[in-house]
Amino acid sequence: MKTNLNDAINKPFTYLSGREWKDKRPLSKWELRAQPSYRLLTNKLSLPKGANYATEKRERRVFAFKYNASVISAAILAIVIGLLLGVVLLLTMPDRIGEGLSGFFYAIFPQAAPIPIYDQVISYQIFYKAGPLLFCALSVGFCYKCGLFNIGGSGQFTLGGMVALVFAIFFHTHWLVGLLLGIVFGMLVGVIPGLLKAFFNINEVITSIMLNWITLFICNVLFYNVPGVQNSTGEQSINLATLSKEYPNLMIPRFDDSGYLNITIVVGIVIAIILAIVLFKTSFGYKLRAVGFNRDGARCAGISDKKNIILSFLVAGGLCGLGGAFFYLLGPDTYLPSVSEVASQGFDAIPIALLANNNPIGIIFTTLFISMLQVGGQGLQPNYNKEFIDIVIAIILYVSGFAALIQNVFLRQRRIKPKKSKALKEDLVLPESSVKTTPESIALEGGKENVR
Amino acid sequence: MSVDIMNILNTTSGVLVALVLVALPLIIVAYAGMTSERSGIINLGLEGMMVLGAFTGFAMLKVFDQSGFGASQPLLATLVAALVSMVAGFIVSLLLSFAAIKLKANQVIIGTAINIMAPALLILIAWALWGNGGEKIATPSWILLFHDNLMDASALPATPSTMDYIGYFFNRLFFSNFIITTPLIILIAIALAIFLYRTKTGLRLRACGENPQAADSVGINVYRMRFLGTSLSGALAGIGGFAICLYIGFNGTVVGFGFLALAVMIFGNWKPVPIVFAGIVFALFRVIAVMPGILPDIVINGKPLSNGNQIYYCIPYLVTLIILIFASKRSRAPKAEGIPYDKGAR
Repeated sequence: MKTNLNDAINKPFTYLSGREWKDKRPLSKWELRAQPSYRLLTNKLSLPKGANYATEKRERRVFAFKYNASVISAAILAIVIGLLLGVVLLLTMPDRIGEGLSGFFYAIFPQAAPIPIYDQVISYQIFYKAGPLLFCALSVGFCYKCGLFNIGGSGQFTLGGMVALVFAIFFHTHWLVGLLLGIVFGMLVGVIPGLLKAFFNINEVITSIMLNWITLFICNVLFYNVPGVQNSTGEQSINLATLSKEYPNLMIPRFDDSGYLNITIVVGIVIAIILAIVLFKTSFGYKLRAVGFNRDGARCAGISDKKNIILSFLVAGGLCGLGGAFFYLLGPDTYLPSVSEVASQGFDAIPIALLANNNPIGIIFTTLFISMLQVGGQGLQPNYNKEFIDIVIAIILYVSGFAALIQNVFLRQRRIKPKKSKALKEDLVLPESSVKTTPESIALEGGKENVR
Repeated sequence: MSVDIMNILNTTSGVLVALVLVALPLIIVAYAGMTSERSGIINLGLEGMMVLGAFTGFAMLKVFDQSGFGASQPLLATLVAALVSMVAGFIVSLLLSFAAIKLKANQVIIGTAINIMAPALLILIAWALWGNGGEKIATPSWILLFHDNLMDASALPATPSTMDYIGYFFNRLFFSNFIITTPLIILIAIALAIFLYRTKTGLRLRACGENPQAADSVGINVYRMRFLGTSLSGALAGIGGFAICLYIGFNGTVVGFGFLALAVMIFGNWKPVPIVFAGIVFALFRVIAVMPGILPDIVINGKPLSNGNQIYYCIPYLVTLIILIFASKRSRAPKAEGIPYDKGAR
């Protein structure tokens, strides 16, 4: 980040077209964005020398395209490396690989199997798993856009879901009320690391992990003590399916009987699109990303860093809580109390979000991909262990950790050769730093060119 | 009367023993985090390194147990297992070193990747070696050295004197759970503190976490120092994981101790002596919260909560949160932590 910031300051931009012209009218959108402060915050493309107002838009589009292409290809490269290493890992037991891979394939596409167990072209499990995961991944991605690492998704997920479940079982509430409760309680857990980060500057990773465990124990106590939540064996919460015969509005609407195909993923996709609009098209999202890019710089520009940190954690907590409410109100899975393991969704969401470069739209695809891998991993089961998939996911995450290295290969900018004109020759004589560092000198330089 | 005294003696010695067995691994893992962060690399993969260290250590114990070597030479066998766990931790830390130093990757992401990879890898290896559920390795009984010297309550005379009670207390304190990793960890921790604060290399390592550019300008190889930091960190995390699992048993996880150690490290302000106190405070709360029979049952409306003691499990975490709030004012992280070193950066 530090080096990027330096680049943003130091690379000249020269399209500003003369002082007289500038004074006559207020700054346009593009001009505003060309201000040094804006560039400092967003690290947008720096234009080659001699570019003018008209080329700016085109260059921007080209850059945006290049940037997106680089992000996507870095992600794909990470995935390919992960999968290849996964296959290499499978090859340690060569006699089983045929059965293992076909099991993997048929778990994803059940209808293609010689003796289909399910009459599904693509396993509904993928969408079922992807639903709650999508919310958690959106939460992680949203926080990351504000420069925060939300590793406490598990706690927010569990408490939101557990409260929704308890209300559903004990008070027979409508599922919409359950979702609302999930959001509220998820926010309640989520806002604590945000507050502590904003006001006491405590590392949010530590606080949210502490909260993961605290909420886990609180949920366990709720589970054991609210009457009627345990099932007859006492090992898990009761299945909502039996209750919902009496109270039909208890469970999330579904498209098939098992509940694997339901509205979760649809709602998730809608929310992802909304988040993308909020992040990239509103001033709130802009401020949030500015804080994430450089907290001090943003504060310098008049953006409240504390407010944005708290708000981003609030939204993230709400998203995870919503995911939890969806997960527990769906039916197929129930709450299993444990003293040694927090819910895995919060952690599974991290590679998903990072793989998509925290872009909400990208997260939709990576979520589906990762849950597809997980479902396929269950098909590996008798021949191999399903932990193979975790290793593949870890490798993908590991490679995407140095994705910046891969991206730079794509984003490498061509050096613009200086034109053989008088003014530029003078520039070349000057020591580099005197030309580059001050915005005034750059503006002047642009003015000179324009006059000519 | 004497029964009361015996109860108090047993509970106190039990708490103290548990305190030592929990606090020392926490401290050594916090030291692991400290070493790495003082050299400028955030090591979020401590948990993963602990898990794999613990697993290899326990795998060695299992092998020694089956071959009979462990029962005949318990001291040597445990030492070898501890050493192997350190080597395993070091090997896992190479993943972090390579990505964070050589490739200038995002250290938080790499740490998370290690945390995801380690438990999966462990289950996989255990599955390949010993079949399904192989990751649950029982702790062999011979790791408790001097367990034969342990006094029983019946060993006391009929009307015991004060000296008898004191002897009984210290006997329980020293012999009930004496594992060789305890003195080993104390030695390593002292050596590490001396290394960081009293040697030239230690000074250089700390310099790389504060201002790597300045360190480089006086001829210190920043990459090498950071590599040293992460490697030491991995080795310490390995033995820390092994030691904590000798106490809580090994089930394929270290139940979040890596992250707790990170909290202890922040609470201890990235300094060796405060970390010791932080570790002891945290371990004390944890032991008191988890040990049955110390804290009263929670009663609501005249009915005790079922599994209400799980409320107490929150205490160490809550205490850490509260202490972090108060400690945040004087908290001072190494300046350059988390920023990949770039020779050309200004």
